Amino acid sequence: MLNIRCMSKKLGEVLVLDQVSLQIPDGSIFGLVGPNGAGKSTLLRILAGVMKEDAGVVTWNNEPVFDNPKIKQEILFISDEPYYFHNASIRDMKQYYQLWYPSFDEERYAYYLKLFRLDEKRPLAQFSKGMKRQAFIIFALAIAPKLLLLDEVFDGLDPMMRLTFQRALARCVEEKKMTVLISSHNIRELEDICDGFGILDEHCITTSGDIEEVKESVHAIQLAFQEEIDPSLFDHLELLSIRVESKFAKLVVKGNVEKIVNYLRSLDPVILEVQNVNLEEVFLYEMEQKGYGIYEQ
Amino acid sequence: MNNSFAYIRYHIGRDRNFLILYGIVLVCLFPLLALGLQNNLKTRECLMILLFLLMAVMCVMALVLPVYLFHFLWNRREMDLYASVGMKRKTFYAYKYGIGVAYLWLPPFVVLLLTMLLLRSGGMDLAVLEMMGKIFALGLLLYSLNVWIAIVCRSRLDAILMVVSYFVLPLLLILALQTLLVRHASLLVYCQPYDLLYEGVLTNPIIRWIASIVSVPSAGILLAGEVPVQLMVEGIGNNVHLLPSGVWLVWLALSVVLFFGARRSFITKKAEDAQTPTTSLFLYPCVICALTLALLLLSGGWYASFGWYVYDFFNPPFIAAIFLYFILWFIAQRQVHVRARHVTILLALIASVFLLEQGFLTSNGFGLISERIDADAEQVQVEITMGMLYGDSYHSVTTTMFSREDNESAVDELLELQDVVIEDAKAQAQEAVDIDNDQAMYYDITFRFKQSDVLQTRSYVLYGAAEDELYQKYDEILQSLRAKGMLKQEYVQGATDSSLAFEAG
Repeated sequence: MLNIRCMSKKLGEVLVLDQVSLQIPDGSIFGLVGPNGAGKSTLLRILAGVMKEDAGVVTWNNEPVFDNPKIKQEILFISDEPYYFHNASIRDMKQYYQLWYPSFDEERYAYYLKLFRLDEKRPLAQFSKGMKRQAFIIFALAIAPKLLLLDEVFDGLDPMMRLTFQRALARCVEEKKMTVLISSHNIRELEDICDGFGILDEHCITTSGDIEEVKESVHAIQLAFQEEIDPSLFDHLELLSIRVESKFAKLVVKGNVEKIVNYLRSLDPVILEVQNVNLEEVFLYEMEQKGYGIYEQ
Repeated sequence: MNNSFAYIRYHIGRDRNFLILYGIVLVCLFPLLALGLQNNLKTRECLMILLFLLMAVMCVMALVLPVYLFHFLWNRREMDLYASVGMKRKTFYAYKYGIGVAYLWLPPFVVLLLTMLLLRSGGMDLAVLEMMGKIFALGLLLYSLNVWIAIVCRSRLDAILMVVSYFVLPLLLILALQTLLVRHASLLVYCQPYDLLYEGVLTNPIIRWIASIVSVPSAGILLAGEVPVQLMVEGIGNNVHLLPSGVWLVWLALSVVLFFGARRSFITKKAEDAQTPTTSLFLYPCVICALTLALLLLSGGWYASFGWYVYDFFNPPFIAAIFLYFILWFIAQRQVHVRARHVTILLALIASVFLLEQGFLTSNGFGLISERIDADAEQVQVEITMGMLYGDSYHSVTTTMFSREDNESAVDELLELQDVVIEDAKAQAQEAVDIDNDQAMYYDITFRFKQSDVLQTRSYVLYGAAEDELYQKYDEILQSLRAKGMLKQEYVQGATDSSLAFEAG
């Protein structure tokens, strides 16, 4: 299990992560979302042992990660711009990864290489952005580490490759009990694949949990009344968003849907409609509440 | 990792193109060149050239290898790859360092060994092995220093600048101190100052130890000087060594210290520091201060023999010092911004130059300058030449090299003669001598003496007019030396009486 307790990190004089706490169980896919500069990449690098936390505890299976070779062999980090050696081909990089990861499987490697239709002898420098990303995805799937950290991995992939990768990842998680942590801006993609998610904002995890649970606890409700309504009627609700225009209102609210609906019915609306909210909308409403941009549907 | 050597095998495999090129260069430089040279040169001469080439190869590789092996520390993307590998940092560092030492030593050693075998008479003897060992030890020291620099630096630009600076700066400082000595020596001594520099290097063990340890380039220069002395000069024995005995052990010890220092820096290195300005006090701040100090020392008295004048603040080294000072700070902090501490440090450096010069004068060159030949000198000889400054005629005498054991009175007499010469030189320094006339004469007096088995000199040049008191005095001295049978050689050029030319029996 991945365990982060009260972890803080400064880059120079800038506080990037402050008292971050998170637990991710084995065999799950966790999506990490957050605005630009929230510290997602920094968090992933700390989990990979590239950087050391300034305070707090970061453990994988109850062992610290930083400068721990035994643990690092179980963790693979693919950054948003993976590095490859000068003039290196996929085969050259494969040799490098084989050196550090005993779990590297040639058969899986060959299978995914064929599936993604890449030439292993061609220099990576000649690949497009998406093809480079595919190459490192192949390594990730071939290694199938116990903990896989992916930073913006879907960026640059075409829809077919994204789907292929998602399915391959899901299969790995199921077969190998792999734990995956993906950071991305594309929340809709994370919604398809992730079990849990966390929103990193203002240097800490502001919201986290099971995706389905979160979606079930956030509701978009459209209301229409016969007369103009007073927005203060909704003050006691846990609102993420409220828009009131004359006789119409749209609320995005957290909480038990039955209790909320019962209360709203007591206001005698003409129309009361509860709509599904996807994860992206939850994220956007949360950010809007914090004053980060304006989400208008 | 199942096999710890798998990484070394992998690393060498990745470097095969570089190693092939390296091998080709070494083969061209050593065996092929030796085979070509041995037709025209003796074996010892060939060996001397090969040892100089070895020094050059060691120097280049010791500068290049650390940058090549540790460049990943200066790039964040590379750090993502290397910092997440499954190896302890100290182990990873040890492997990188060890690979560098292997590249530094093994190929030149193997190629040189092959070359020795190819040379007709073998060529391998103790002196050659000793020189090779010292060259390898010094190469290791330079390599270790540059490894430390490469690790502490945070970018490629900083690493290259600092590697070059640490190499060049000690030489510049030595040149500056030498200039200080020469410039002010005329206030302290009356002989030619370069005699003292030569003596200082050869006879003062402290100076030789400092030169051998504090600065790798100066140690290299001493080593380069020692190679021909040990290989080419017949009969010199093992008594003459520019390098202090056992200095190679100190080099190895310093290499070990640098190894552990660099290791600590590597283990604590932060990945997020890559591509940020280097902040270590031992790098930019030290280099900038040392460089500025050296240039300021060079600039003092640029136009005059000694002292600072108004125009000295506009001479080239001074302007270069100020310019480089601020430029390097701008590079160090990656912005064009003059801070109060920059100006404060610069003023402090300028003040320290004045203090250094004053200290040099009041302490008689920090106790290093001793003009008078020591009373217990083992052997003494004097050569006196007096002639027309603007003519061809001269009269030159050289005494026998008198040994204290055999002729103590002669030695003492020559030492007393030095006192006379010093007094005359002192008098000339205080009064201007008119040499702009056809009758101007020069008096070139050189004392050669042996002390601690090293031959040293004190040279004086005096000026006067024909038939003046100085002429009378030195003519009497020459006559006296001749009368006492102390002369070994006497030459007269342009005199009417050619019978003056004779060899002392």
